[in-house]
Amino acid sequence: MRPHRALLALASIAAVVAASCLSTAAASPDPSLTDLLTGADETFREEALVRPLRDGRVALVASFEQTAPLSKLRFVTFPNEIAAIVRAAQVADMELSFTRVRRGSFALARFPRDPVHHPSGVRRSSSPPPPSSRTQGRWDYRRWGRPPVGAKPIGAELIASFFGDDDPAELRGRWENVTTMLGGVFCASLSRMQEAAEAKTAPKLAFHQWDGGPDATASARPITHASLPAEAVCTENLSPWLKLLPCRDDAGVAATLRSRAALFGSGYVSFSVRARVVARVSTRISPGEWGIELTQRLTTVLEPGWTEGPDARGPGWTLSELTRVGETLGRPGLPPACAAANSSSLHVETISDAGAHAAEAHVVDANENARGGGGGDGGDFATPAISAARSGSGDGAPTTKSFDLARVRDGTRYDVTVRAMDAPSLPRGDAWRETMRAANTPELYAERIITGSGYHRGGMTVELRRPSRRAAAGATATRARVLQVLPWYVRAFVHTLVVEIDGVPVPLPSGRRRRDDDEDDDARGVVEGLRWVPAIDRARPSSTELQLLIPSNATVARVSIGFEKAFLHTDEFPPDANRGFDIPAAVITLPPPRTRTRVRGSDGGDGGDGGERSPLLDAVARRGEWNAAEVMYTDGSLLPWPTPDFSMPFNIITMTSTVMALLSGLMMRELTARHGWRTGERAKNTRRARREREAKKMAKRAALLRRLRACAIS
Amino acid sequence: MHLSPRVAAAIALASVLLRFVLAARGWGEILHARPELSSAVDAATRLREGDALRRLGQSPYAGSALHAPPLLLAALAPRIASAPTIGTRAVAPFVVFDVLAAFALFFASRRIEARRIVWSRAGSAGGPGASAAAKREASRRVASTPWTVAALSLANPLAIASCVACSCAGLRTAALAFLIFGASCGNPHVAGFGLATSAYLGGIAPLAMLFAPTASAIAKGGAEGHRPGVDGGMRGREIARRSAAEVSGHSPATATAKLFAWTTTWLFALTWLSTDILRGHASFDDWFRACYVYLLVPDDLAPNLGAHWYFFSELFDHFVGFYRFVFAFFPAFLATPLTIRFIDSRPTFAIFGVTCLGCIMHPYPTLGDAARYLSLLPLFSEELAAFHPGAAFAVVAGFFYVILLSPIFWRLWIVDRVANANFFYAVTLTYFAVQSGLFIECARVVLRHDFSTKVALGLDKESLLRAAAAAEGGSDDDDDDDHHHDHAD
Repeated sequence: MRPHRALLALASIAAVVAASCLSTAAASPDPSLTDLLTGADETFREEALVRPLRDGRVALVASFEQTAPLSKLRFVTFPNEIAAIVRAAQVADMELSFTRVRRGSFALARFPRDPVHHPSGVRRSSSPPPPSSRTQGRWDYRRWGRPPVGAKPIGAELIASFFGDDDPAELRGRWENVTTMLGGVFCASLSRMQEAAEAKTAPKLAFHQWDGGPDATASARPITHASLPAEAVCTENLSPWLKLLPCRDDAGVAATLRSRAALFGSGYVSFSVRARVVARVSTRISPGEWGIELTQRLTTVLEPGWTEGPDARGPGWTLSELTRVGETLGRPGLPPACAAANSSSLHVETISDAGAHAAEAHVVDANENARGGGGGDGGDFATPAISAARSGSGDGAPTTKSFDLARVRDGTRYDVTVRAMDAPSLPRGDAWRETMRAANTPELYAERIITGSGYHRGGMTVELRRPSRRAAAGATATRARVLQVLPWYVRAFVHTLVVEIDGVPVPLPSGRRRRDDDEDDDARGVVEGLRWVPAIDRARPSSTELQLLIPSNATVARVSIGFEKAFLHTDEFPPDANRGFDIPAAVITLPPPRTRTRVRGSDGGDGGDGGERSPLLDAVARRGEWNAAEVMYTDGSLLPWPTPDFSMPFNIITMTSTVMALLSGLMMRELTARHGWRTGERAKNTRRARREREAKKMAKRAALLRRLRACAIS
Repeated sequence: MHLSPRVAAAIALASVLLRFVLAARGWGEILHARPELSSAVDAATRLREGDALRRLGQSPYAGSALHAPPLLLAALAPRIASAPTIGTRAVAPFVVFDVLAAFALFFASRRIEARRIVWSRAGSAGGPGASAAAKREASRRVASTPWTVAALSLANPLAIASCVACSCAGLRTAALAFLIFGASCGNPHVAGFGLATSAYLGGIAPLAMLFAPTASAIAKGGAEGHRPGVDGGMRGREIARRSAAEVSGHSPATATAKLFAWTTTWLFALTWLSTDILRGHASFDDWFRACYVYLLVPDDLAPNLGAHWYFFSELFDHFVGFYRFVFAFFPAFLATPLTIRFIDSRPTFAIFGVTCLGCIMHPYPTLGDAARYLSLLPLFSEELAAFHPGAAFAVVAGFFYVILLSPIFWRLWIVDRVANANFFYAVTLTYFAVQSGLFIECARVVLRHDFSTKVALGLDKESLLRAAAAAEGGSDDDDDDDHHHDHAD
């Protein structure tokens, strides 16, 4: 009974202490103790953006931002593992992203794809959707316009910079630290990023701060970048990502990600974690203190089932249907905001280049269907804050409706219905839509084409094509930076590097006169900077970095390079050797786009998040971002690779060794053979043969004699 | 086979013209991409890449692209790089080097044939070649053999293809030809130049393996095979004295010392020039590593006709170090007994044998390398007349097999993707065996020839013993007839 009693005593002591602590925390004004227990110096914001796309699909961006003081010992809501990594490797900024590679074809869309006619009616297209295998697994700029927040390359990508990074050896150590730890957290084989031969580079132009100026030089602290295009991204990576959130995917915005089938069955899914150390990340941290800011973003393109509303108000869908959370949970609607969130909001772009949409929020009872649309029982929640982005002209402003999820009462569930509005309800018809589309069309479309066939030689071309609308509109000259990293086994040759503008090759700058004086010559100034880092076998990938100034009258700029495929040792192949090798995407950096400024209206009262900052909408508007330059990635490419016969090692070793042994053996035989000796040998042999012949003769004779003698005796 | 000078000159001229015609017809672009003709060491692509890197203001050896020494890059790359395709302009220097090699071989052969006459005349006292017909035959041969050697070296289809493909193998041939020319003339500075250039272009292995035979060849001054007096020491001392005067005038020791001095000098000169050209771009360490260490540690597993690539792409990781050592030193291991066997009697043949071994076991061999030792074969035309016809057929058929099947198997594997690496490996294995067979048969034939010469001169062991016994007065032969029978073949 003794241990039992001791346990009881311990428990009671613990209870008393806890109670007193709580009471002091409630009563005492000491902020540090309060913070320690409640996490008041930690913030968490969750936001989601729904953007209907031109082709009938819907982009959903979920964004989560957490901040905490860097020096805090125990976090309440902020994930400890991220803080530990940031501290251990002295990370200044790191961004890890996973993007799903989807092989196979898209699911058939149930809404007509024709972007021009889409919202104007309920017409259903009977023709099959156009083949889209070209752009699988990446953001399709041609159909979907600019992504709301930056699109990411296929597979996994890590960009990091560190504090106090003067010593390259130390930098390497920190990089190894970060990749190992992040790989452990996210269940990904990020340790392959340490194999410097394949992926790791230190770009000097891409990923650096750039305002679009002509100077092709690096800025700020060195950045280390690596991407693993072959990384298979799946739920095992998403689950740890969701674990970093205080409510995981049980409540709030993250609950929209509840259905893994919807996410990983979608055409595009990309999620990223960005952690950076900044001075005073939020108002809740005392000034002068360093804080960590953790931003998690997930972008996915979903396929809504456009259905007629019950009141025949045009085709529409609900958020719970779109994300298939209703099916997953077995209940209609979505759970309300996460309790730990300081703010929780949902933004729907109602007027955009995909047309005009009506977004209505409503509250769903715990066990009943929707209780009426519009306002109804939604109360405060259902009246959105409307903010309009104002482009240059001011006409037809893209409008975003923001719903505050924190206002959904506990115990109830909410849902949002989005309907395509009829053509007459559009502000200015087609002209308006053209303007909108122009605003959302990227400066350039980037494609990468692999040329050549067979296992040995090939080439690749990165094509930057100006959208026809922009070319027609008499665009100004565009600057772009191109980064192509190739693993060492893709032996790219810089003498095959060609930059063409509309099919006409332009001269490349040489090392001796990097800055050209005669800038007036149009063709000469096209390539403003060229940085070529040749590959070293099994040690370093090659990287090509170019800064191009594409003239205003040009339509296409092409950067092509030829390569040879290196033949590899059997151990250097991945397990599925005959599949080939994935080549990292080319990175195209464009200057910050001239975007619209967002103005918050007060049409729906001062509901929503009021005057508070919305990091997601800021990011969409590309305002206040650390690196405002627009980064685009081309598709990943798969190169077929020559393989040795993996079953042959013993055969090869024995056969080659046999031939070598024959060579040395026969050679030594010829060299050591003394012809004189050989003749002596032969003479000896003849003598021996003669003697044997004699002996035989004698034996025969003896036998004959014996027989004769025997005959004589008998 | 002996060509008359006029025919030989016509053949040489035609083959030079053929090189230009092929280059002008655009065959260079096709041939330089062939793995049989251009390896990582001497591909025109790599020279272009080095030139491009230099133009960008970087070290040409910054990546793993270039493995050619700097002077080659400086001399040849601009011509190759400036034209969009390989044409006559790019091929011209390679043709020049081929012609230089032919000239060097011409003079070397003339010298060697002349030495052979010295032997014949000396032997005319009691040996073969006593008749007037034999003398006429010999003088006809001394006039025609050099022409044949030069013509065959230029007309070798492998050499032509290699030249049009802008492969550096032709330059190594020229270096070797200069080495033989210098050695046969007893000229240590020319031989040293050839040796230094061979090492500069071909790595440390030629330097190590060629030094001793070259020194011996200088001392012998182009005399090949056994000569009365010099080797035997029993007969014809006055003849030996006369011929020694006609020979180079170097004793083996002085020849070695002079060759060493001149080789070192030339190597220093080449190194200094190279470092000077690269000043500000790359250090000595960079290009030494890229050009020479690269040959010892063959990391490039691209298929070629050698034995290394498939062996090392299949080999288990923990054995790689050991087999690297074995493969790198295998030619040196074989070269040692070869040199010991031939260094006294036939230093030029030892040079041929060592070159042949080096090509067989080269990590990045091309057909141009085969052309190098094949061009030396006519130097030994008299000895090789006894080449076994079956072996000759096998070797020729083997070369045809390799030249015809390697492009086919390469295409099946790499372009059409219906075959696999084993097909090409079969070709390389055959090539290895064919080259080994050629080399071994040459060694056999030459050794036999030397033995019959010895017997004819009474220099073989038994004759000497017999002579010694006869001098003592006793005669105890019981199987003399066997000996005579054997000498007849």
